[in-house]
Amino acid sequence: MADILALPGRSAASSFRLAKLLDSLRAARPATDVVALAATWRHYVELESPLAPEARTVLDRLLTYGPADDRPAAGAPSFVVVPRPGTISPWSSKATDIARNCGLDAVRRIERGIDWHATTRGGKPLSHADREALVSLVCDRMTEAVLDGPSDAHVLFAHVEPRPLASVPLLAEGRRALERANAELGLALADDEIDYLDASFRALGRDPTDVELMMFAQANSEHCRHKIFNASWIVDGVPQPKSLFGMIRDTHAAHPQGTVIAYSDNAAVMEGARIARFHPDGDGRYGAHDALTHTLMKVETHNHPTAIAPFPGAATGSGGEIRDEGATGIGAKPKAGLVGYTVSHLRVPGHAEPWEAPLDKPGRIATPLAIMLEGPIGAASFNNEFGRPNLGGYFRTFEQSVGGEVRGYHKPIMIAGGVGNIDARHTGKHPLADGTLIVQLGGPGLLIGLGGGAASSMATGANTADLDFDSVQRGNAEIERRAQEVIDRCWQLGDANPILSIHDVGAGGLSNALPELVHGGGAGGTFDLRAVPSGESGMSPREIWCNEAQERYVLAIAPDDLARFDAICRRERCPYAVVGRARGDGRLVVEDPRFSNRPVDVPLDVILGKPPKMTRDVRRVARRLPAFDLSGITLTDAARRVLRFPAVADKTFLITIGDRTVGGLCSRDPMVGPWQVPVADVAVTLMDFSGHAGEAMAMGERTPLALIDGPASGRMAVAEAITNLAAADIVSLDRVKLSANWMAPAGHPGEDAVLVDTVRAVSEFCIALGVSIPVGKDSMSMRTAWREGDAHKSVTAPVSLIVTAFAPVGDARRTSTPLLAGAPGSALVWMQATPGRRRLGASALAQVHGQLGDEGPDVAPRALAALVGIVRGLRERGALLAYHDVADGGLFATLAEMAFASRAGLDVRLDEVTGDPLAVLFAEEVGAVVQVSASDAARTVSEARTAGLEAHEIAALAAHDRIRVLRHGTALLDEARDDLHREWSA
Amino acid sequence: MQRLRDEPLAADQEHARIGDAADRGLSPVLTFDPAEDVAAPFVATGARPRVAVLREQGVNGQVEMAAAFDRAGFEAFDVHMTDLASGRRSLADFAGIVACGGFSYGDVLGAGEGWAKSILFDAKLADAFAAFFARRDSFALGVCNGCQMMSQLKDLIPGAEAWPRFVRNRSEQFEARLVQVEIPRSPSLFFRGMEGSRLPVATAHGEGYAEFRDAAHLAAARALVSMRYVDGAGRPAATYPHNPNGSPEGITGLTTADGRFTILMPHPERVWRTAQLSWAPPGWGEASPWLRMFRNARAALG
Repeated sequence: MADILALPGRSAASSFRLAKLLDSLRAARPATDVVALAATWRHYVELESPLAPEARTVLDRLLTYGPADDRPAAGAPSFVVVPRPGTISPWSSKATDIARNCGLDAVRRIERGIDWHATTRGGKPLSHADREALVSLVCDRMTEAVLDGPSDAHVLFAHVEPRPLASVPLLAEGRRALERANAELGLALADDEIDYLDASFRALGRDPTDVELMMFAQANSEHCRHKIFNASWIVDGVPQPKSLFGMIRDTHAAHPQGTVIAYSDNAAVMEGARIARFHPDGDGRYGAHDALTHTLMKVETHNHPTAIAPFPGAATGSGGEIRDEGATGIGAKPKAGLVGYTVSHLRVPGHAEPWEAPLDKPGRIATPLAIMLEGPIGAASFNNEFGRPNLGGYFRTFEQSVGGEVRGYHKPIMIAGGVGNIDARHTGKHPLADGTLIVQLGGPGLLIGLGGGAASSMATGANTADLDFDSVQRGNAEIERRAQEVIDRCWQLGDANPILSIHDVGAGGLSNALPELVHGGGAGGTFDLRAVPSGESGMSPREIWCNEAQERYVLAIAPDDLARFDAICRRERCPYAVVGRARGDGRLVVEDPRFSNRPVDVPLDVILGKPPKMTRDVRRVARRLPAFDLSGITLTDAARRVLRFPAVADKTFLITIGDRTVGGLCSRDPMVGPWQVPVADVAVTLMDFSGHAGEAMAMGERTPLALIDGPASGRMAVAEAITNLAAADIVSLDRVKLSANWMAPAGHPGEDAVLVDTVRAVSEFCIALGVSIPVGKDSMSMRTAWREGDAHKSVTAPVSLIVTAFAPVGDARRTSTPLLAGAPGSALVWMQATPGRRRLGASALAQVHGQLGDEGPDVAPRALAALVGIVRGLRERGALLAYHDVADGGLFATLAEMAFASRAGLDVRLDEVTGDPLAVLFAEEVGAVVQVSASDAARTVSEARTAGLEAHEIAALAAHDRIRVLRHGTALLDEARDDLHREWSA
Repeated sequence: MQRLRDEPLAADQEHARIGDAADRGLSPVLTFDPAEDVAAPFVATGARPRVAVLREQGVNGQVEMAAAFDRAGFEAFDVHMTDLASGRRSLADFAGIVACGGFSYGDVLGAGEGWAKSILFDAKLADAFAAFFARRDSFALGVCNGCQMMSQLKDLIPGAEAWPRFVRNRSEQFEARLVQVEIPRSPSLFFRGMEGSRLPVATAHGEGYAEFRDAAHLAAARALVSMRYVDGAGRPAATYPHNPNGSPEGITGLTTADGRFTILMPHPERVWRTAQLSWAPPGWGEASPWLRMFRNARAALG
């Protein structure tokens, strides 16, 4: 065996991290004897040959890094945490690269672990219970292992023999064998799919392998096939003429203008502009290139992994969505991202809110608080390290007992999206000739994330905990960056781009990506299983073929292009491997030279040729909901509660963790004004470094409203996205493109019918408005169910539509924000698309009082278009000084946020506005507040009214620094502006 | 939430800011005209000096950097460390090098440290960089990860002895903020004529705390400070978030005695157009004040 050095490093955790950890330990185990903790790095260096003294000096200097250490830990550690034996951690591969690049040829591999030192009361040995509690806090069991001490670390470098192929004895045991495999492997196959496999393999006259079954299950999972969205529907006995997806496609059929690619690739593409695209040429010389350049649009959810393991779940959510963009056409470039979260109530310790009931949840999913403390850091870290600015998003909490059942987001929504750019010449993938090389680009396969596509298609709780954990991946953004650099070098060659076709590796791993790649090129393929780079030696063929290790792409190149592709990859130090060749007969063959067998040998049609056919016969369920009881609610208390409500409150903690400037093509992020207050709801990017054309994107969602009225919640989501987008100089409504991301608790009584009605309503609304939906995704298992003793418990999400709107921007400099112009003599004009309506159902006001109500806001397409038109008119004539839409928290939140961003006092006058002040200020009807010069106010009001909107001169900048609401001279609310701001930022 | 997640003192300081009526926020002061193109006479000669836009695996901020130098009149080249290691490119062919931001090697052996050590411990590369820095006519800029990296090369850089290391932010969090910096009087060729200006600039880093060994080390560095975080009133920023990484005296950029080599944690290369700034005062034109530092570099070469 090779020599292994175990070298101590510096401190691995600061004193405040250790103090927080100790608090967590005490919370988990009040009886703990542990009184102090210390953590230090430990480096394990596997040597090929003895290290010369000079080399040892270099090694020691390499391993001395990070802040200078004032608290070295002494003595033997209580235990050590190391990467799971048999794996090569991302840290290891990069550190080993550095060592090699420093000339340390004797080093075979460097790994890193942490020595944990626990000091106990009275110096007792660490008890088993304390050790277990501590380990559960500091060790990620999917990727790490615990050892007694550094001397046990030789197991890190042990070679594990690969596990063998398994076959399922279908011929001998019949269908039962398939049913058993279905359960044991967590395949989530439906009965008709088992019948289909039974018949297919009997026809082939042999037993299926576990690889073939897993591959079939992934390729045909709800996640990949969208069975519910493609199903036939019967609602209350009436057959529906169209599938859900059919109704979405109707929007594109009605408004195809400006859309280049819809539904058929990893991201949708909308028409961009001829710009001066700046990048290096093949010889490395940078320059501007006159090129027709289109815009990518993509939004993905990653709910299940984020529920189980928030940091890696959200990180790989963003990472996967980035790959989708890069793998569009024959290579594209992601530019700017957004990210959103919906969770149940946070229950921040020490900040109990009156609307929060005690938390009840199963053990295996993370708490809403943990999801929001860790998930956003995961997504931001990935974006930061990849180098993608994050310019927008949303955050909502919702949890309430409605009609005797708990509705909420124990299974959270984690959504990641973005825009990118693609050369107009590169939007189409090419057919693959026999012999075309099939390449895997990026990191190695790892035994993580097995069966994620199937697992995410189940309600949380339906799977065993182990299968849930197995299905979460881990992110390594730096290698995805390297792969993207390779893709960039390729598309930057213009007509000489060597990529013929490209896909990202996501759900189902290679077992899904490679068939998709060759099938899309009209071919089959022959693959060499052992050519696939693997980060661990012990994986079985099924694990190699189906694992969902991240940061991988598959692509096709002509054999003649291999040399120049190889040169690009070497220059970028990006691993790649030729794993197979396209074949003309449509057969899919995977060879395994290690075991001299064929884990897969079927016509591709067997895997992909089972058209998912599902009929869902569902019923509407009438709900009787109590009206919102406003009695006892005071304006001042309501204002403070609403400002603290997470959907309304300050989102700084979600924003400053993410880079918003990398790439140099960002123009508008959420932060506004000299005090950088996060109130802008539109993200705007530039297309190049010389012009001002760009892209805008904005999100909208109003999911609690679906519990009252599904179709209204869908229309309101679209309307919110569009009123957010209207802050930018969008060319026209008919160039607006939407991503619709649908979440629903399919199978829950009444919810399927709500989904059908909502999809239809949104389709009709979009068609009337002139916008289309060329991209989206669905996740149909938004329910968490668990047992506690004999009690069956569940938390069920509403039907949830998250809309992201995209549009080309004429001039990025003309984006409006809520920052008020300080000049004297201006007025704030409030416009509402639904004159006189003050519906409070599902509003923030209702939720902070633990209620829902029975009537919520809704909007007609004509009124929304009129509002957008008025705003555009103001911008065109240079009259628009500030703009903020009305959404969560209603008119009051809109005005308050304008005041906070501007550090200005406001006098809000309700003299001519009808209705209960609570309803006026907190109804979340579609509307906006604009700042115009005082001389323009009357004209603005009159134009808006002529267009059918309600409009009032509602507020003016005040000489004082308070927010006052006045009606006929009486102050209904009078609070210091900074007091309310602190409440909002609490 | 921030308090639970990050270093609590930083979160408290940010919250306390809301009630500080004296906090003017970003309040730029310009001591020069951003529209004036000091490079124009030299660009007019038709000469475009070559700048190597240097990156290592994991660097992600090279394109906007190249664009900034391109706009100022340079010919920018994409130079990967593998180009230097393989001999495809030689530093001798460039007037200047600029090390860009990102996460070289995923920052696994310290931020920028793996990149620096892969130069220091490779005799050929170390010699090439030392020879480049020793030339009388060369210049270099390091930004963010490039700053962290170059601070580790200080033994090769004449006049850089007093540079600090850059380590984990006091908030123990990645901080991406538009903050205000002051350009003090310093020898840096990048900031000629900009002295006294206070400007908003993008920052985005987790490891920007300037770590000095002791008071004497800090004292030796003072004359080389070329950028510091300041509050709205122009005082060196001591509190978060005006000073997003907690560096002493707000120090976030340094140069050498002859001004040819400069390192900064903030990102002027991302905000050299007014349209790229999250906020700018009314009236700023197409070129933000930051374009001046790239034009200065062009002008300095004559």
